Amino acid sequence: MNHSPLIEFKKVSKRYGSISANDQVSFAIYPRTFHGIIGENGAGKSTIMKILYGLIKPDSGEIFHNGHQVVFKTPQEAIQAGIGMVHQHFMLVPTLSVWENVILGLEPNRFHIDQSSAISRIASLQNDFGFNLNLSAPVESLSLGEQQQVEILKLLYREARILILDEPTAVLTPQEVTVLFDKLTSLKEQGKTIVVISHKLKEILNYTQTVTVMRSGKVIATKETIDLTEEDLSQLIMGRERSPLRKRKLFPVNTQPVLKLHQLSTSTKSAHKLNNINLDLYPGRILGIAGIEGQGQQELVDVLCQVEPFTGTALLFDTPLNATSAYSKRQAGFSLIPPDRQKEGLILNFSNADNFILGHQDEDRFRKHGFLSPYQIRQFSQTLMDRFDVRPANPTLPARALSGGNQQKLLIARETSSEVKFLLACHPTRGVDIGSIEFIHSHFLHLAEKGASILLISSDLDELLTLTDSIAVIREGTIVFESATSNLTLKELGLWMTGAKT
Amino acid sequence: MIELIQSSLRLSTPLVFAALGGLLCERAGVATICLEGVLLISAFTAATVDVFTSSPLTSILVGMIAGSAFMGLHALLTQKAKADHIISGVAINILAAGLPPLLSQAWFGSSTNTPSVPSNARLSEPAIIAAALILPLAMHYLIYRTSFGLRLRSAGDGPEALQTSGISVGRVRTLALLLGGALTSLGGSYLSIGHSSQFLRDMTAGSGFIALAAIIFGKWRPIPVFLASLFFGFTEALPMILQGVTWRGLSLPVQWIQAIPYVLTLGILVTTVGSARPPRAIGSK
Repeated sequence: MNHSPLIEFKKVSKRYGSISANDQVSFAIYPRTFHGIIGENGAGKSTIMKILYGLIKPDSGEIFHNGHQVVFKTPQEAIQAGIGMVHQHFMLVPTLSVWENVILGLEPNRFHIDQSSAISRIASLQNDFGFNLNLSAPVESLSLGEQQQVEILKLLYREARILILDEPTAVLTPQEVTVLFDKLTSLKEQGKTIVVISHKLKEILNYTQTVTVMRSGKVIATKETIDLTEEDLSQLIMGRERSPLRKRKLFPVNTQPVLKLHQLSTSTKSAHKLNNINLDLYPGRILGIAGIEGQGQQELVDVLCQVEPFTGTALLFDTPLNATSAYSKRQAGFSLIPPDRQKEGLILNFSNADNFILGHQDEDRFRKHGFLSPYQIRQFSQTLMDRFDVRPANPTLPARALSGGNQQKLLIARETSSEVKFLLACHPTRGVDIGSIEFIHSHFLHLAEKGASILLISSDLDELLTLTDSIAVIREGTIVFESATSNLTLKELGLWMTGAKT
Repeated sequence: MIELIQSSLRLSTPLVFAALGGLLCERAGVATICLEGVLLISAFTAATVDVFTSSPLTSILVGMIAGSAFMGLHALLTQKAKADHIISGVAINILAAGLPPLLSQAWFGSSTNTPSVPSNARLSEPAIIAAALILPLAMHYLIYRTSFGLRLRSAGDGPEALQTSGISVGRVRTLALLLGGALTSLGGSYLSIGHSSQFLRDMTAGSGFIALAAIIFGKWRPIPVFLASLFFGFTEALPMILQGVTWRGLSLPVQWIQAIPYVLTLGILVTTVGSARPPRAIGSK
């Protein structure tokens, strides 16, 4: 590459108390390239980009843009310099139309908005860059993939030349991921510089030209992607070799299902009510539910948690679901990793120790003379935190102080600390870094070996394919396909999920 | 019949101003339980200024400034000090209820009312009512067809998006509150020196809360909110007209007639409130 760098970081550092978010970060981004930044959660990927974008003030170091030293104090200054960022959580107004979201903050006219001229201007913009959005549709009616395109369009409207995307594929289906990266590649061909922050190896390997690997706030390497294999990259990210998932000893065949759903339907007004679901889950087996978000997965969880009424048969541990209570269900060995750990799994303002006994507070091991014993609870928490490698391992800190991956490990530790017969696991590794994912996966295998049945709802198809014995695809509230995992490919699953195959 | 329409319009006018003023604030994401207080303080201010100046135009302007100042206080508390919107609103209502009797006692020697102004110092009712009838269209234009309106709706429905676009949410909301306060004050001034000729203690009698109900009933959209205000004005006019009316020798008990506006309001709110969707970020700090 004989260009001079477009952006260059020189020894940029940022500390939060005793934690170094960025430690002497130096690397360069060249114009008209597709640059990946990869690393585990908390490696400092987002921090360095937020520093560039004017959202975080660095403690020391210099940033050069086109060879000139720059300090952007606000995102507006960065945008004016042609640098735009799409955040992990979309910054859109759901009730406004696509075109209104695009012009918001930089309206073409000072007071009166000429709708037709604004729309035609954005229409020609999206033609130039190969987008095909319905500009008058409210943003809330779009799929997440389309909403992301609105975010990109917003940056193009502001004439950004560098597009930074923070974990852009976290919420997308495999097909949407392909569409996104094809779009980004074509934007690069048209002269834009693309920076993608990700912790997914495949995306980085398949699409980027250059990759910067970060670990614990430091840049480990910046390399041409073409020179790297998946193993090289994962070793750089983790600082050690990836341990392959061990083969699991299959629990003996048992013909009595733990969970039996027969002609199960829901009747509430929700858009994706369940329709005639039939599923059997046997002891020691892992059944995966694959599907695009919002196809009835939430309703299925709600039925199993008994917050959604249903018709048909649902037997758990041979007891009809509607004849049992949440409490006795838990006593019988039902465990839950809910889809939203922060809202449904933990109480963030409670201490880690208190979070550990939620749902177990009646058990004798936490009591002394009939009262809760803080000492025993703390002891118990400390043991579990050490065993599950929850960091920092301090039972008295509020759960809020933990990172997402550690919160998830805390939750899994609680849910599997007493005997598990049935585990309902929803997106157990969403937003969790590679090291923790390995740990969680191997823990699930361990549970299944001891005879626990696991119903795994996940949007990570690789996870489903590596962990499960069989996979059912849910679409529009119905199971459209079920098969043993060994006969399945990623592509086939994607086709079933989107309805290309019926 | 004509009489019913006339008195409906008169009673609707303060509601229209308060509801549309409040609508502006609520669409920007600020809960405005303090409409009642703004109505009261502007009614008192306009009446007091009118006593001294005998100029209705000056009075209404000063009234608007007073109302805006109270909304400005709400903006300061909710946007700068990040106070809870409801708590700030209640505090403003209490302040606005207590201040007029105190000042009135000090200046006019009566805590219950200000002196009556002569009829030539009163606001022209038809002019104010005409303004109330045009206002919804102006508000519709402002909210849906201008840059300010776009930012206003974003402040209420997606403040994070507005902030990241480089626009200060606090500034948009403060502007909306000042403007909303001025509009509401038109209603307050009308009450004391248009519809009446003096300020009476607690003369707003819950109009601010009825305006809030009209905002909900109208689902936070200017034209429906305007129609809802007219409807609530109509229900207030109805008992006055119905009193003493007999039909085939039967007359309704007066208590029943007086209960009509409340029963209708309750019925309407119970049936519509469930489907009304407020701005997503209302009350956010």
